[in-house]
Amino acid sequence: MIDDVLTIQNIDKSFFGVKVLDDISFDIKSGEIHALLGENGAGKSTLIKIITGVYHRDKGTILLNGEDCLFQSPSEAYNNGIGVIFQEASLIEELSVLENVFLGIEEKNKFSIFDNKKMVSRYDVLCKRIGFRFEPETIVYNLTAAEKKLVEIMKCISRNSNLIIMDEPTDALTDKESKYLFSIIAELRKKNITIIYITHYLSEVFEIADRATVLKDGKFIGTVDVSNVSEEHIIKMMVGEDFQSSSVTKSQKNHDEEILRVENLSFKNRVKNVSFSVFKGEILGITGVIGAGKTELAMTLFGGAKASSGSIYINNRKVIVSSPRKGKNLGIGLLPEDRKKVGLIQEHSVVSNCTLTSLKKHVSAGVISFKSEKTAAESIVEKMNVKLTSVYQDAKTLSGGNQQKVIIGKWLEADPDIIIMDEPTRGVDVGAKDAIYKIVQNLSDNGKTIIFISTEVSEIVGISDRIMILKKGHIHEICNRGVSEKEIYTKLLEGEIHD
Amino acid sequence: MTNILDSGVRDGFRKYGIMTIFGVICIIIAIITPNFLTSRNILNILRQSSIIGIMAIGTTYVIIGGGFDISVGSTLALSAAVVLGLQEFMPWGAAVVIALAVGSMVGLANGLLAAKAKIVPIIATLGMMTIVRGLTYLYTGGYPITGYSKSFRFIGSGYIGPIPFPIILLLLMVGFWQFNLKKTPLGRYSCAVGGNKEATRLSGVSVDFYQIMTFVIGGGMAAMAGIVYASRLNSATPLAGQGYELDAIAATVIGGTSVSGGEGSVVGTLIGVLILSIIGNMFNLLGVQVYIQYLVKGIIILFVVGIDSMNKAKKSRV
Repeated sequence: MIDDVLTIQNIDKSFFGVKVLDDISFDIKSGEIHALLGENGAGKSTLIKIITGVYHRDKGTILLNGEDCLFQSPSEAYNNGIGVIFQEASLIEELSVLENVFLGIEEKNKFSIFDNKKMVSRYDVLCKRIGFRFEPETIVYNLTAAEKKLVEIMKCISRNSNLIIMDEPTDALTDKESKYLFSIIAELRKKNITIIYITHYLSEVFEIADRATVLKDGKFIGTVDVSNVSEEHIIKMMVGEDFQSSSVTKSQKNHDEEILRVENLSFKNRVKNVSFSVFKGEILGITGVIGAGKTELAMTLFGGAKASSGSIYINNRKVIVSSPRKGKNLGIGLLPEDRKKVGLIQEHSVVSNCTLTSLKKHVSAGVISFKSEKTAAESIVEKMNVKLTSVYQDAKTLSGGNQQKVIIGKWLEADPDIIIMDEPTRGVDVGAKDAIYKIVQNLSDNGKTIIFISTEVSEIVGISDRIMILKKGHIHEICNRGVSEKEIYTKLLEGEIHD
Repeated sequence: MTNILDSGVRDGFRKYGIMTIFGVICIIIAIITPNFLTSRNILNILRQSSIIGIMAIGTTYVIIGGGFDISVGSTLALSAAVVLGLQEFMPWGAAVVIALAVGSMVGLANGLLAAKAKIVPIIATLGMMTIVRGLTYLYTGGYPITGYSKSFRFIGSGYIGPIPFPIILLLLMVGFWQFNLKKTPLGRYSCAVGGNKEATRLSGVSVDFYQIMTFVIGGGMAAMAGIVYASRLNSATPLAGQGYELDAIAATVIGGTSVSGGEGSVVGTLIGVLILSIIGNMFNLLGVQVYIQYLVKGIIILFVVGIDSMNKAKKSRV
């Protein structure tokens, strides 16, 4: 048992009575690269947060090098040799590589002044140990995304981490950079450093991992030796066999009146040469893993972000959507992904939020009519079935689902033809989810065009007329209604990394 | 639950706390200084408040819109100099219009720097504060300017019935801008921009335009304060209005406008100005050193803003 770095035994965790981790047990062997797989909401992040002391487990034990450990905070985990590299870089851009690596553990002389010489010599030892080196004085700001990941690795190892957890490290990297990172990771393995590698990309698993553990819906599905299994086998583990046939009740309708056409649209390197059409009354589902460019595409269509190239046609007329205001005037509405931060003005009343997109309707002779505003808000509340005590209460007092309904309502007030919904059901309870699906269906029946963006495959399959799969900014495929959940999963997971 | 309670207390404080504090201060002062409640003293206080009060209306808009403007003291000086200097060449009415335009242009420049060039408002207006003060020196040549027109002096020193004109002007302005804030799209969008600029942008509102407008109002009202100042003293020095911006900001904040923007009221600001004036007045009546006023003012500002910030911090932590 000595060669287990980390032994996870019977871990349970619930939030608000909902079990997110259910009896998870597996082990991480010393010096291996262990991939952790599972779709969004499978419990990967929660498990990592429990290992590193961000959350506390309800039940079970975790043994670190054979000893029971229960960390109270990430820094305690750090001090005990567990380093974490998060998706977003956590370096201080304005400081040098050296300063970042030794942040908080600087060498000092007897007057408590930083001893640069000592640090540089320690840095050199560190570089020799891990087999790559940057000039210590390089400012992090000047490094590429991949180099920053390497600096974070250095930072972990300088703190004697022999277990490094990497969360989607290739997310912001180009393929070439990813390859470089993999070669470094392979080097680290030779130095007996253990790595837990979280990823969405199966190809990466087969490229670098020794073993892989699959979680699904908070349950442990299995751990496999990567060299012994096929891609299909892992997909099967992740997707499972128990699909409910999707609850499609509506008949396939013909949508043949094109309302929006996009040609070769690009946004920075996040959306690449995307071309597609959407038809009047259609629900176009867009899915893809985190970082696939879904939100960026939505923002570019709406005018929230400026397209780098490409063209957009509405009703066959070329348009330039230079701002959200322009988007609104062209008949486009957007439910933003980050509902809490930018969906509503949290400190303002439901009424002012409801009329923010369409204040003009309530103004006569330059003066806002409170009565007309109130009527509009009340009709939204009734139509959307928003639960509240008064339309004058602050938006922040509403639950997530009710906030989302208010956002839909505020856009209906502006009467757009196309409504883009970016993760509309994220973080809302089951009842509100169903209500939102009904609203979406209803809108489409009444001729509104909906672009429904979600990482949740089951809802995408359930609601969309067609499904567009994005991968690293490209359209991977557009599927017609009738495609199964399993097929979508497979398409999401399979395949090469694009150039 | 405590969360709701907290915000309830905070909102209550916003809406009625200022009134309560104001009432308590008045009663205390009325008891300890018998001269306080005479009509002459009250009119005196109001008249003293009028210049800062008019300026602070603009400051209120800027802060509600999520900005900050420390250039208004300089703007007051420039417009005061302009309105007096131009009287040599034109009727005072035309000079007033030009002075207001100059102030609005300064505000426009502030707004463009903050909203378009994305300079942090306090730094953008710090730069403009220095530039405008410099322009005032250039225009005046460094000497005090005096006016030509007798009738112009009515603005600062005239009476309508028993009431000094500056007080009437102040109350008219408070009424107008309070109405504008609550009942017009300009006011609503100013609040929206300050409350959450990105959410407002994503609702299809030209957020930059409205943020710039708050600065224009800030500059315009500073110019109006400058005109009253010039008319009252019939003289403007290049140093006029120094430090007024701080009083205007203090009054706004004491009056319940959220420092982070999004909510506030012009009437609250008026009360904030009165609180500051009354405290000054009390010390004068009591014959207390003027220096103590600074201490008291500072403590009041920290107290009011402190309660607000602590509540917000507590809330974001939950």
